[in-house]
Formats: sequence, C-alpha cells, structure tokens
Amino acid sequence: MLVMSLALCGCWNGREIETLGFVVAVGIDSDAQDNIMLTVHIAKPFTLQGGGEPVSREKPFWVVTSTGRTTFEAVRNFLRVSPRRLFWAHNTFILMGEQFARGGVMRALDYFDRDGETRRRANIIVVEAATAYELLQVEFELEPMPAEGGRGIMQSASVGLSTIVPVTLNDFLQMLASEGREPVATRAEIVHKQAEIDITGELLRDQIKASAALSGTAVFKEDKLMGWLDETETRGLNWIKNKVKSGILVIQQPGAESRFVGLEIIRAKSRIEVEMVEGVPKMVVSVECVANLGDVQAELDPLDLQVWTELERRMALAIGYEITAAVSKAKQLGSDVFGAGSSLRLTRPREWETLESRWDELFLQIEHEIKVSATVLRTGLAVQGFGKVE
Amino acid sequence: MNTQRISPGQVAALLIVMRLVPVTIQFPVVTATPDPAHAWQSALIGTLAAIPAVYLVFRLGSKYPEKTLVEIAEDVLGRLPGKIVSLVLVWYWLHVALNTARALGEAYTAAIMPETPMLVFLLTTVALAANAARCGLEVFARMAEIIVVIVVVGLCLIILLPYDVMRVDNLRPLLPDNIGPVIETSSLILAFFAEFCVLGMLMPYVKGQSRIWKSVLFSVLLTGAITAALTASVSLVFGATSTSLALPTFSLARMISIAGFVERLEAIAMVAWTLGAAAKIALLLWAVSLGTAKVCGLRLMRHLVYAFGALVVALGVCLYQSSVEFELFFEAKHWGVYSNAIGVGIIALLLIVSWIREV
Repeated sequence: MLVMSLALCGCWNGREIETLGFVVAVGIDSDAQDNIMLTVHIAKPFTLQGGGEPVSREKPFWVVTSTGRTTFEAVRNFLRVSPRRLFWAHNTFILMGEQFARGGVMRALDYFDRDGETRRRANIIVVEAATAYELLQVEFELEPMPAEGGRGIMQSASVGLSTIVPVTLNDFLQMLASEGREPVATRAEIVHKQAEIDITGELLRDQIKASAALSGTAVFKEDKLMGWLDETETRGLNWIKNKVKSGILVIQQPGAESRFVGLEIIRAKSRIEVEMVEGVPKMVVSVECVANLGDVQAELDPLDLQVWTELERRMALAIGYEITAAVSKAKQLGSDVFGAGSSLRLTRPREWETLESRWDELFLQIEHEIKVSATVLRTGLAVQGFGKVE
Repeated sequence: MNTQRISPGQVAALLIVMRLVPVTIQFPVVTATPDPAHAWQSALIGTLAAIPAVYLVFRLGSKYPEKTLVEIAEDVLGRLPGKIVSLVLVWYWLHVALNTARALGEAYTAAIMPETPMLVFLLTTVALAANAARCGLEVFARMAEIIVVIVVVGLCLIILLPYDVMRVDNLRPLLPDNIGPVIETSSLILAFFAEFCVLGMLMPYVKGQSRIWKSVLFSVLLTGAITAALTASVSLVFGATSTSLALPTFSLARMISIAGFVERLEAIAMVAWTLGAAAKIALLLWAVSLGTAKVCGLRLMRHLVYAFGALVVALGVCLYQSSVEFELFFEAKHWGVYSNAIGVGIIALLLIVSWIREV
C-alpha cells in the first residue's frame, strides 16, 4: 500500500511554481523568412505584492521573443532565453500583427487549441498597421500589468460602447469551422504618447511612450485578414448580431440642427432573417432599442410630444445608418461577417445546399432592409434642462 | 462461493458509474458524429433503445434468480456451447475493462502529464480496482455508492457552468435534415448500454430481487439524460469544432469561468474519470474472474482477480498502438457493432432459446 501511494502522488511531471514563468499575453508575427515569431509577456511575480501594486521600479512583466517554423517550435525556443519554463494556462490574449494576419492565421493557431495548458478563452486581437511585437511594448497608466489593462478596456469597450467585438479563440475557431460565417477579431491600435513635460523626482515609473486602444473589428475571410470595420461599422455589426449592450447614439437636435443630442442605449434586441428574393439574398434586420436622454446642447422640451417623436425617429435613423455602414463595408471586403449564409442555412437548409458554393458571389449582392423600433424612455434627473424653454 | 449481498440501490450506483465513465473520458458520441448539432438527439434515441435491450438481461436473470449469466448460458445452450458463449462474454468484459484503463491512461497523458509513461496510470488504477474486486462485491458496491454522487454532481456542474459561452445557434436547426447519421451515432450510445449485460452476473447477489428493474431503469434513464445534456452542452459551447476534441468533457470543464473567479475546474472532470474508471474496472474484473471460475468449475474466484488485472494492464498498453488507433476503434462501425452484437445480441439469443426450450 505504501508503494502504491508513492506511485500515486503524481510527481513525474511535477513542476514547482517557482520554476514557471506565467505567460499573460502572446503576440504572433511572421519574420522575414516567414517563420513564426512569438512575443510573450511573462509576469514577474517578485515585483508584485498583494493587490497587484508594484513594490519596486521594476516593470512587473518581461517581454521576450522567440522564433520557430511552427508555433510549438517557437514556444520551445523560449527555453533558450528564459530561465523559467513558460506556463500558458493564464494566457489571456493572443495578439496578431496586421502583416501576419493578412497571410493567414491558421498555421499558428492550432497549438493554442491542441496544447493542454492553453485555453480557448484567450481573446484574439489584431493590431492595425503594426506588429504584435510593437503592441506588446505598450503600457497603460492605470494598470501595472498591460494584460490587465487590455482586459479592462476589452470589458469596458464591449459593455459601455459596443464598438468592439470581443472574440475568444473558441469563438474564432467556430467561426472558421462553420459554413456561411466568416471570422472577426477585435482591432487594436497603438496610441503614441506625446512627450510630456519632463518631471523628475518623485515620479517612480518611467514615462509611458505608447498605449493602446481597442476600436473596431478585424474582418477575416477564411483565415486571412481582409480589412477593418471602424467603430461605427462595428456597432452596426453588433446591431445585426444582437450584441449591442450599451453605447451613445449622437443625433442632430430637433429644432437646433447644428447641435447634438446624446442618447444612451439602455436595452437593445435584434434579429436577422435572410431569404432569397429573385436570386438575390436579402437580409431583414429588426432592431428594438430603448434609450435614455443623456445630454442636449440647446433648449429642448421633452414634454412636447412632437419633439419626443422626432427624437425617436432620428434615433432609428442613426441606428439604420450604422447598420448600413456595416453592411456596405462587409460587402466591400467580401466577407460575410454577419453569418447571413449561416442563418439562411438554419432557416432554409434545402435552399442553402444549392447556394453554398456560390455564396461568396451572392453575398456581394446582398440587400438589406432595416426595421427599427426606437424608444426614448427617460430624461435623466433633469426634464427641460437649464436651457430656457419658451 | 460468495455469500455477499448488495442492495438494488447499489446495483444502480454501479451501473450509473459504469455508464458515465466513457462519457467523462473520450465521449465518442460527440467525436464520432458527423452532425454535432444533433448528437444530443442521438443520445436520447440510444437511451430509449437501451431500455428494451437492458430489459432482456433483466428478464433472463429473473428467470434464473439463483444463477449468474454464465451458468444460465450453460443451462440454456448446453454444456459446450454454453461455455463458449460464456467465454465470449468474459472476453467482452475483459475488453471493456482494458478499454476503460487505456482511456484513462490516454486521458492523463494527453491532458496533463505527457511525459509520464501511460503504464503508470494503468498500473495504479488497475491495482486499486483489483484490490477492491478481490475483497468482493460488497466492497466495490459501497465504493460505487460514494463515487456515483461525486461523478453525477461533478458532471452536472460541468454541464451547467459554461453557460456564458454557449451559443444557441449551435443546436439549430432543431431537427436534422438527414436522420441517418443521427441513428448511426445512437448505435454507439446503445453500445455503451450493452455493457449493462454484466447485470446478469450481479443479479443473484442482490437482495430484494423485485426492486431490481426499478433501479436498473432509473440508472438507464439518469445516465441517458446526463449523456444527452452533456452532449448538448459540448455542442453549445464548441459548435462545429466539437468533433475535433479529444477529451470533450475535460475541454468543457476548462471553459468554465465564473466572474473570473471560479476557474480551472477541469479537476472535477479528472476526479470523475479516475474514480469512475476505478469502480468500473473493479466491477468488470470481478465479473471476469467470477465468470471464468464458473466456466472452469473453480471454487474460488479471488485468486483470478490479480491475474486478470495484470492482463488488463498489459493488454491495455499493448492492444492499441496509438491514441488514434484507439479512437478509431470507437466508431459506430467497429465498437458499435461489436458491443451491440455481444451485449444485446447474445443476451437476446439466450432469452429466445430459453423460451423455445420451455415450449
């Protein structure tokens, strides 16, 4: 029995936590020889105390690069430079440079699905006009760990703005595998900071030279990056995919056309129906949206029913504008990011079988119809506001 | 030879654990289906088909309440044909046991300990199971009673907790275009229920024969429901990619993340594998040893347990070259036909012949 219990303690592959380097983000690029180049952020636990506050001037992470012909080889090659074995279970981001993504991403992603440590919950981000290596140089003012900062922005931009689409590896692989649906990922851009006034003395940390913003969507066709949706178009995409959580709709103010009204989206629900009309696919987008009055720039009397109706009408137009922008951009890029083909497959499977092979061309001709039911519900704590109401 | 007795509740526990082991490890329903959106329907159809199939064993057992399945075979078919059929059944149970051991070993090496030789996992688990089997029916029946709670609760957690990454569209359209693949996959479900023919060995040792069918039916329905729910959950989370998963339940558990706090629950899946596999192998080793003892007219089966345990380990390691070969075996056209032919076919044959003899 004693011998058996020794055998059961599982120390064959035993690893002590002090011998591991925790990867928190990984970037994928291709180098000049078209090898896979990985850049990782490895957490430096000894620089962090409880609560994640840095205790020294040292950065709490280490950025290091490795290359290989396959991802797995590149991962192993880290052992040449890292004194600790890389541990992937806590990785939260898979970043990709634009150039690499345009050449097709599947050749690098399989490792992250096949390996036992990596998780399918990692978020996929593509950085515009830069490499993942450059993106991994950025820092955020409010978070010592850039991966934490990225996670914060991911959360707030998707919930508060609906101008990004959070995509996990699991989502991405499913979009790749399913018919009539093309993959998307979150777009990141690098924001270079202007040199600020040089303050020396008590400022402990080095100045941050570059930060990052998440804005919009990277559009793929199969596994190749085709182009981008900007923030307006991305919210259009989110309207269509029923993913809008909140956000601000800005419309021209009724009665004061040079001024604007900000409406806060409170609830939104949408669905699409795709059918073939005379050989051309047609997508009907129905949106129900409830918003609150957020701010006005000139006098506005919400008690006037006509003004109220006009607000709602303009809100519906603004939503329709975003949807149209998304549809025309997707057609321009030739990528069915809405899953129009897939919803056709679900509702009319027989018809889809005859169309499947031609769907790429058919999608270029897709027409859309928008039905919006827009409701403005409340005015906030002010009714007329401080503007004088005649 | 053996005066140990178990209760109908313990029979249910044994059967439930036995059925849920393949679900927690390779889960062939998900990986072998061409149509993941409808795999859960295959699970339901297979379960419904399993009810009459398992009833055959029960019917046969209750006709000869004092006898085990191998003795019944000799009674019904005569001495020599009966012994041959019995040996086929014994081999089948041995095969199921070694498959279980191999699956556990594959799962451990694939998921967490790639460098550890698979033999280590097989050896430790089978040693534990053989010890339990040697101590007798009562011992591992009690073991199963505890394990069943852990396995069922663990699986329910794994089914429900990844709710935030489920995509309802993955199960649409609700009805399949083509019922063929759904039926074909359901034969795999039935193939695992065919393992329930081991009930024929248990029945003479159960006190309260009248309540056996109720608990057997309960275990079929419960495990069928869990299998269907787990299949649906895997499809909801992984969609079109679910067929490429090597360990679907394990992967599903890895997707759990509640508020960034309740995470890394794959340990639940691993606990379910390990405990479940140990209990299942114990039951099968017991059945194999008892069956062999009866066929050969030995008075004690206990001496055979370690020998068969060693055989399970050796064959478990050697019978399949690689994980791919092992996975290919669990296709409907191999395992499905093989298991159904023995676990359902032979039992049906015995029952029919026994009826003819009565007439």
